[in-house]
Amino acid sequence: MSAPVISVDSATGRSKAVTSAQPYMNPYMAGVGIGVVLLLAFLIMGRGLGASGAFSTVVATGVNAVAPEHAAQRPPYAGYLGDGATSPLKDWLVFEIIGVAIGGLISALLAGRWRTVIDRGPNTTDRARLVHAFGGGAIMGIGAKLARGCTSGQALTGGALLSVGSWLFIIGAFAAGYLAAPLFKRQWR
Amino acid sequence: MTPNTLLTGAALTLAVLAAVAGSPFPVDADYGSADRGAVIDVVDVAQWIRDQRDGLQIVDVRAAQSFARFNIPTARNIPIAELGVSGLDTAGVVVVYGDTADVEEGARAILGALGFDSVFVLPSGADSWVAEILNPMVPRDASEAERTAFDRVAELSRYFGGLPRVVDRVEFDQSARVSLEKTLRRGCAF
Amino acid sequence: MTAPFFELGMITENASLVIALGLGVAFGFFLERGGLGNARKLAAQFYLTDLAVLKVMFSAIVTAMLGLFWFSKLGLLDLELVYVLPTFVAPHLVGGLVFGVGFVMGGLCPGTSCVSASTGRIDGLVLLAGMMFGIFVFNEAFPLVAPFYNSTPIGQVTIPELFGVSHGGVVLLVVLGALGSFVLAERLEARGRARDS
Repeated sequence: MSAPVISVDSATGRSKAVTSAQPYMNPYMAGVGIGVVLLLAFLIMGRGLGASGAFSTVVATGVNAVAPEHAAQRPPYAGYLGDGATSPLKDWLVFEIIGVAIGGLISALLAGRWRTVIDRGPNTTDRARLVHAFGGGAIMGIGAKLARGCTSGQALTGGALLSVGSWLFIIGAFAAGYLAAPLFKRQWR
Repeated sequence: MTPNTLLTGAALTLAVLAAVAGSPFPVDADYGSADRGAVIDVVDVAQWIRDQRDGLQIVDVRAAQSFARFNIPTARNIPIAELGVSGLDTAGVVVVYGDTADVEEGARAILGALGFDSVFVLPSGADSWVAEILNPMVPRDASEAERTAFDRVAELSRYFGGLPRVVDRVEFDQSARVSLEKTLRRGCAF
Repeated sequence: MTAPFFELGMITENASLVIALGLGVAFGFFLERGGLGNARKLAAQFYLTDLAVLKVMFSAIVTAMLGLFWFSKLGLLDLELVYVLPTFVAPHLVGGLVFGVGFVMGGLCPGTSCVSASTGRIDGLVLLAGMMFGIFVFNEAFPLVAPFYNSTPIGQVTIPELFGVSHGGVVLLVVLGALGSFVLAERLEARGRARDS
């Protein structure tokens, strides 16, 4: 049984222990569920799941809209834009990530966990949290580009395939997370 | 029995069985669309060797001297006359290669008569291996598709100690053949 | 072989996009079910108080890994046609390290930030914006990064292939490792609960 989820009320800034309307699912079962989805992806498509790739496509599309010549001649963008005949957003990962958002929404609504809130620790402010969210996101964006994937594409997909690079990514990410944790303790505890 | 216990039991069972099985490929694998006695591509053979496919047997029917000089990894040297008493597994897959097409065809026919269900011929296997697996080349201006195909071969090549190269032009008279001499002496100081 | 269906030409391009959507919905659903849409719960992993991330991730990896092995072994899946991403040793490792720092700082990863954002979390939205900014920075700096990005390739290699050991043996090791880590996780969480109560 998981501990009560503590969320911070944005209006009053006070933290309150809020027992989730429904307790979370057994994490092992949730994991098996995801594993089955991943397996289906392999069986149906011959590929696994991903996430960061979808955002690369979105960024490329955005840059292309604003500065097409620049996007055309810069290698990382060109790779995501295709031949220009169809919209680059008509892409497998983009559709998948839209599904992820929808699936999360459905689950949250069913469990009564939908909430306009900023998830953070009790000893920090909303503003600091958002700054860290942006910064952490940016750093992850760079890490994911370097590793050609993120926890969905490299860790889950590549991990199941026992790909060497993916396991290097897993080890690196967990190690760095634990080593850097003291730096951000104030954010979470 | 809690769900967790059930999951743990299932995972352990499947994992132990997997370890016993070793290779993730089926024993009576459908080795592609090729029928018995068909010609096989050297890249496919390389892939099978690397995947440690169950029941794979590579047979080199050349003279012992040629075999000793160079042979495809995991190949057995069996003269045609001894194919019947060689102890090969008739249920497995045999890939046979030799010096000439006549010899190879003869070997294939004999193996078929001996009751081998799956026999493939790798024409001039040793030469093909040296050329395509140990010394694969792709021209610098190759198309996307050619590059992708080359990448797959290059990866196999490195596994077997080969030297894949991107060249300005693939010379037709060389036709991606580096002499056996050069290949065997690669890495030597003399 | 009956799978992968798409690779064998049985599914159209448009159908594959619908499938992507469907798989995504299931993926996001289970992520939220496990609580991985909440940054605080995710970050707790690195403070050893709530190891849901470890449990969910490795349960998923083990499930899919065992599924791949056995579907292939039973002749239902052609493993050759499943795409394995090429390994670039240094970028993969360094990318992982960098990613890990960002993860504990931001508390969400790309996939879970989508779940977080779609369930009302403002920090999830902001993190998504930050991630796209990071991708943008990387792309702009690409000429500088390219040599490192393309360095140390070893091709599409799996662990059994790299060490020349049996595939099934590695599967067993991974399962044992995962189960061991789960036992450890339960102990750590129990200790944390005892301490807090």
